[in-house]
Amino acid sequence: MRDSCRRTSPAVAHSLGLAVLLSVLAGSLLPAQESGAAGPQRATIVGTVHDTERNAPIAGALVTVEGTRLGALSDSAGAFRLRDVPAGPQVLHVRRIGYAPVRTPLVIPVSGVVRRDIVMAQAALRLAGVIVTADPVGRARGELGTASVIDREAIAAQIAPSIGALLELVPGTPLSVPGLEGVQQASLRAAPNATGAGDLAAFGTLIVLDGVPLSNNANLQTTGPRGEQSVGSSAGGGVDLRRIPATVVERLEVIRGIPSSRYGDLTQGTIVIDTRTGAIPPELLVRYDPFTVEASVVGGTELGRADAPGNIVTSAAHALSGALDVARTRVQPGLLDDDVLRVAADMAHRWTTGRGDQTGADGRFALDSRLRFFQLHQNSPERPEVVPGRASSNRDNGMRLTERLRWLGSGGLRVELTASIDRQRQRSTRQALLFRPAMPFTDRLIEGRAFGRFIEGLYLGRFALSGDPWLVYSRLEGEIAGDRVGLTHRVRAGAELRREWTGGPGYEFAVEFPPQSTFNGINGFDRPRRFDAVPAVATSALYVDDQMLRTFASGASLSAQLGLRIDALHEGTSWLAAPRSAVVQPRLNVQLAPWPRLRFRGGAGRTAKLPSLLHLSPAPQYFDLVNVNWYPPNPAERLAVLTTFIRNPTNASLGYSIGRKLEAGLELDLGTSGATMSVVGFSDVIAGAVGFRPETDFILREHYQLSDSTIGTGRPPTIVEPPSSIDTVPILIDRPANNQRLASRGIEWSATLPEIPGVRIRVQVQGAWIVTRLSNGDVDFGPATLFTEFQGDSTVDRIPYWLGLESRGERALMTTRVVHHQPALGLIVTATVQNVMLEESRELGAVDTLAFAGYVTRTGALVPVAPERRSDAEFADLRRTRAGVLVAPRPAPADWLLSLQVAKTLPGNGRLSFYAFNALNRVGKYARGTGLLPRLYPEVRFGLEVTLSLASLGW
Amino acid sequence: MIGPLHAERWLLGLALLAAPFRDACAQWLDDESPRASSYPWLWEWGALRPIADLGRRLPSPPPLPSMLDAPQPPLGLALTAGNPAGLADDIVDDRMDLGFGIGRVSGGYRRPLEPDERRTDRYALEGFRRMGVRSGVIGRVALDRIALRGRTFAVAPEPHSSSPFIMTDTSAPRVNRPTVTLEGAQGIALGDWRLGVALGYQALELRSYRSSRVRAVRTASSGASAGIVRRVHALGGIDAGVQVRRLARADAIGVLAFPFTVRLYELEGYGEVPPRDVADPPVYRRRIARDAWAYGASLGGEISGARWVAVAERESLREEQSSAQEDNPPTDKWFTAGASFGAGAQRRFGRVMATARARWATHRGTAQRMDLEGVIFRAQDSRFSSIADLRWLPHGSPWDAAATLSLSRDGRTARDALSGLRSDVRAWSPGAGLEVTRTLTPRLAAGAGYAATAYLPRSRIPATSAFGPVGRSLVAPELEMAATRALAQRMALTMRWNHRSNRAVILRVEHGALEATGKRSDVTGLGDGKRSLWVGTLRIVSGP
Repeated sequence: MRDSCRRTSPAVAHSLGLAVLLSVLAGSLLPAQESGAAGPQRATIVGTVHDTERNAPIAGALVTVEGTRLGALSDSAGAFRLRDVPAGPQVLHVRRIGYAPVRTPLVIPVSGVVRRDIVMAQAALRLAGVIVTADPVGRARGELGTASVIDREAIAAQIAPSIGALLELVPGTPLSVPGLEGVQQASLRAAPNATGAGDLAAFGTLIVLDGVPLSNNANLQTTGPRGEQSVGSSAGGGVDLRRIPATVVERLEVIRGIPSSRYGDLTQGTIVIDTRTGAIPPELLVRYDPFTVEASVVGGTELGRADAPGNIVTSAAHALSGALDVARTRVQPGLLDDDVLRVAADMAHRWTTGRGDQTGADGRFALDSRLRFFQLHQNSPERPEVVPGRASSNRDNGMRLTERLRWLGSGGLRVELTASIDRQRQRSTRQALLFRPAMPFTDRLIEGRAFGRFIEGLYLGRFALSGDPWLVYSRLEGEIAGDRVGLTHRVRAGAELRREWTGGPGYEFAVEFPPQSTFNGINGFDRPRRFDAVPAVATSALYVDDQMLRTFASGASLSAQLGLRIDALHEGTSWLAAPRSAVVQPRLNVQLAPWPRLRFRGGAGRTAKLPSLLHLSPAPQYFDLVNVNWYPPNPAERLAVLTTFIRNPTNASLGYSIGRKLEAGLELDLGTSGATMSVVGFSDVIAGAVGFRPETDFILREHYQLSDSTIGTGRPPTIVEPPSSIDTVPILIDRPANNQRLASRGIEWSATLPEIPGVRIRVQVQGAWIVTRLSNGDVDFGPATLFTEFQGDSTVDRIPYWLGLESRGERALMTTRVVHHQPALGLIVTATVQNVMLEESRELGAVDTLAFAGYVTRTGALVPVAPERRSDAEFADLRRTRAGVLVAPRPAPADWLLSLQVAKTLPGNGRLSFYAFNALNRVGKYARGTGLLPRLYPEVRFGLEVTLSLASLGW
Repeated sequence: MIGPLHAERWLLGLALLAAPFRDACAQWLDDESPRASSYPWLWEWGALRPIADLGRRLPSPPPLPSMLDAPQPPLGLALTAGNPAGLADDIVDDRMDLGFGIGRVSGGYRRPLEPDERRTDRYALEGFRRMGVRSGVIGRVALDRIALRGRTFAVAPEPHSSSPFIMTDTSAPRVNRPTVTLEGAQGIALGDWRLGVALGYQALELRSYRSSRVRAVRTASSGASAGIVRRVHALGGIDAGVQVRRLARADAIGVLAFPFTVRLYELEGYGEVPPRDVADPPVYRRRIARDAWAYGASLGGEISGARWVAVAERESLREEQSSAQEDNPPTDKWFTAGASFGAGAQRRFGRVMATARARWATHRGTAQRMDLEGVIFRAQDSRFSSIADLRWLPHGSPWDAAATLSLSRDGRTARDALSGLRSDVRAWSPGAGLEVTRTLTPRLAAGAGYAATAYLPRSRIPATSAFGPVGRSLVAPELEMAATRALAQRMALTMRWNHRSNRAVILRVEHGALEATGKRSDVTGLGDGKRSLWVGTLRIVSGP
């Protein structure tokens, strides 16, 4: 299945995609334009917008229905009317400069008029129904799959130095210490286990920032699988979320279920981030805790806007906004001088012109320009009195320019062209004092035999990784809405082009002082290499997506989203080249609502993820075989001869990882009380995930006689040609392969209870039970030393190997948020209790002495042994315990954690927030039985955050 | 209790609530926690008040009346007796107080576990508000950035609590100690019933600053109290209530000694303790968990034109300390139990408003060591404190004046069973203060005040030679100070500028000093000279 997907021929892929595209367009769009009749019944929303404190009508408030282009401005009496609102659950979004935006969920009947009066306040905390958690039954715009929607107000209520902490609002995500220390990645629907399933899940999580994907594919800031020292980079994993401060985010959509075909290059989940733009009242935020200090300024203005009668924008308008965020976290202050410094700046400009639609938000043409900069510097300077020699740094800088041109045509037609260029500059260094014994040494960078030297002793091993990843991205997308045979269609089709490459000096170090003391040898270590020699990757994609809605007179409704996407990885570095791998990805989401407040949902889909440049162009492996090792006491008489072999581990057949996603669930919406309940079961499987496969091979080693081995001559001997003997040395090549399988299944649940009126307390519960298995069928040689010793001991003819290893992680996590709200005081107290009900990690693999699958010879040949013959006497040397596999489960005891937040309005529309992670300073529980791991919590982390409206201060 | 007849008194009284900020920032010389205050009644509503722990305090002068920002101490079941249900009546208006202050304590007359110098920056927001006709709320949040410089032997943030288990670190690094305090309470009136809840939380991070010996302490304290009050008309409108409080605290202490060795002493009373050298493994951890309960009854009413309040509480405290990271670890334990009684009255005599308060508390404590049977240390602490506040508020005169008179008695007897040493320190502290203010312009007023207390101890303490080397340097000097006569003084200058009718900016500078007046011994480590305090605060007050 995997191979068939990867190796889909370009012609087939193109023709299939084209056929599907045309058929869907033909089946949906054209009749819709022809008939334009028999549309579904729709309702009207009417209401007024009032000021909560003065009880005065608010004119000019923009009322929109989320996920649609329906909208209206309130008149001088505060009244508004929205016609043709689709039935089912919808969200009203009301905005007005100087007021906190209001987001009100409501259920729209099939027909008739719904009245909903909106109350706005200058400070959100004074709103009666303020939402400070994610909307668990919300929908990402244009999406039907399961999602958590975190809007601006919930973001403001969350103590989050970066968007990583916002993900705590997603079911199944553990609470984290609010700071910038350590790489932060998004790992949706995956339980942690011992072998890095989290990294794989993070790598497969798509992050879309302002309509353009962020990519970590060209991040080569790693020393690879043989490296002994690491740098603080997320290379091989997902995008480091620390680069995006939460203060600049307007809305976060976490699509955990099946995303529409619009989204590609993913296998796990999708996070859609919209940053703040437009007319934003200027705002200053300062956060202080003993470890982290953050300051942020955000603001925007609108120029030249005019509203014509009928609330239709007719004149050209400009909106300019900007944001600057500076944050610093000290890591282990007192002991170390380590810190993380982040600077992020955004500049956005929107130009609109022409006659717009009902929302009044846009003209016929809209051009969004965004320039974004970030720097994330992690410094660990040397403290000689603590650890002499040790120091490291990781400095990421990035600049991205995005242009989005949108045209709104008649009949609901929308065409959007997006273009973006993203450039990063990544610089990592690390140094440490290393000691090596006397050993033959060569610094050859090409294959061949050479005289070496003997070097030994303590030295400062340091290296630098310097990469300059680039991403050029463009997308052309069209969307049209229409009705056909009782179904409302919204059809979206588009094409994507993407090119990624990297440059920079690359992996640099002085070969004589390498970053690992066992540098020369038969283990195949890396030599310095320039990253700009790594070829670029060009991909293209086509997609089409149809979101359909049918409502019935009984109030029931049926929604479906059907899409198809084709991704192609091109040969070479150009989109004009033929694809070397292509994947067809059908996706389907269905929602049946027999009653507007009850919805059954399900979906299935296929996704694909491009291998990273790290895997597409792996570093060559250098094997240095010692031919002569003559080491008398007198250095002048010593002789070392080494032969260097270079093996290229590139895998030409490496292709896309395939994700197969399946989910089903139900949602219950209990009406205006805001109470909701949802349960969803899911199965996510990534087949052919990319990892390194240990591939056996051999190289020939020549042994030479010495012309004169007399000690005391004062000069080294010479070797006698030809070699006296030749033997073979088995080697392992780390070849990237689609060899991993990551499977997660589980249940997510959430419930929001109605507010208890007397005490103004609302309780929200969410959680997830997830089991994740990471497995492969590759050979395994047990403990690392077994193969190394086999390489060096020519008297050993064979050693056993084993097949297959599975790592399993399981976690059941429930988070309860108790929110006490006093609008009159502008006070919100949120107590978050997180229960880890179950957490376990184990590795699964046969470990008995008959579990070996075969043996490897000195020529690297793998010889399988049938199970029934493994007990034969001739295989007695192979019968040993498979060490290095931890088979015992490692559960940690169930435990809980409390975090606390208190937010209070300040004069001038400000807000003061206090927060405490692990508020009770619980140390965690110790295991009561053997084999259990203690659960140790980070100690209490607390701080204050102040948000001030600069507008109210006269700015 | 709600209405125009009481409005003036409560307006005056609630204005005093601005004082917690100023006074907590000032913190008398030995106060280690921002919750400590020489205006105890201003913290009675808070859920973070210490329970069953009188601590070992230095002499302090009576509080100045602070007429420009806190003209009259209030009386009420919440603000005096600590029953949060009383807030339904005690809060009659809205007020917001935003302030910034800096403070510095330094000088040689110090106990061994005090740092040479303590600097404090404080940012605080406090306020209260009447909510409708039935409810009143009060709350505050404060950030204290404290820097301890010089010798900081004490590892835990409050080494002068009643517990004899005190961890000390001879490497004495410089320490930074940010602290955030959050408290709030609400009282609701339901007919003749009053219900109230108070919650408090405090988190503290203590971390060595640029030192190769790392000391890291994190502390979280959480408190809650609840109360019920019923107005008994049959007894002339007396308010009778019951209240319960709980205060829990968890300290996580870590000392990292890499690459250098750190020598610790875990004091446990008066006996000599062996050193604990932290080197291999280089990490030493200790957990301290405290759990304290108090429950009691309160009464309030009026008689002959005077408002009065009385309260009685039963208190208990359990402290456990452990260094083992395992389930049910062996612990050192400290228990205290006791009671406290308080009363207050307030009456106007023409142009003079008189307020009097008194409180008496007594606690008995016993300490047990994890590896020994029986009690290793016993202590009995008691404190009686009283204060009278007289304010002269003439009509038509730019001058106002107020005086305070105070009298307190502290007693602490302690017996160390392992060393056989015992101490008995009893001290009377009479004090007086005077403050005068003058309205300079319709918007500008200024005030000056002075207060002093004489510390007059009678004591029986062990001879210095009875202590071992550790006790001589870390324990005996404190006993010597407790047994030495001293004089504590404070003076303050205040400027108030009324920006609008309900907004004011207040600038205040305060200086305090403590010095010995009696005969000094030659105990090694006993501080000499005097210890002084400088505090400057700037506040913006919105409200009456």
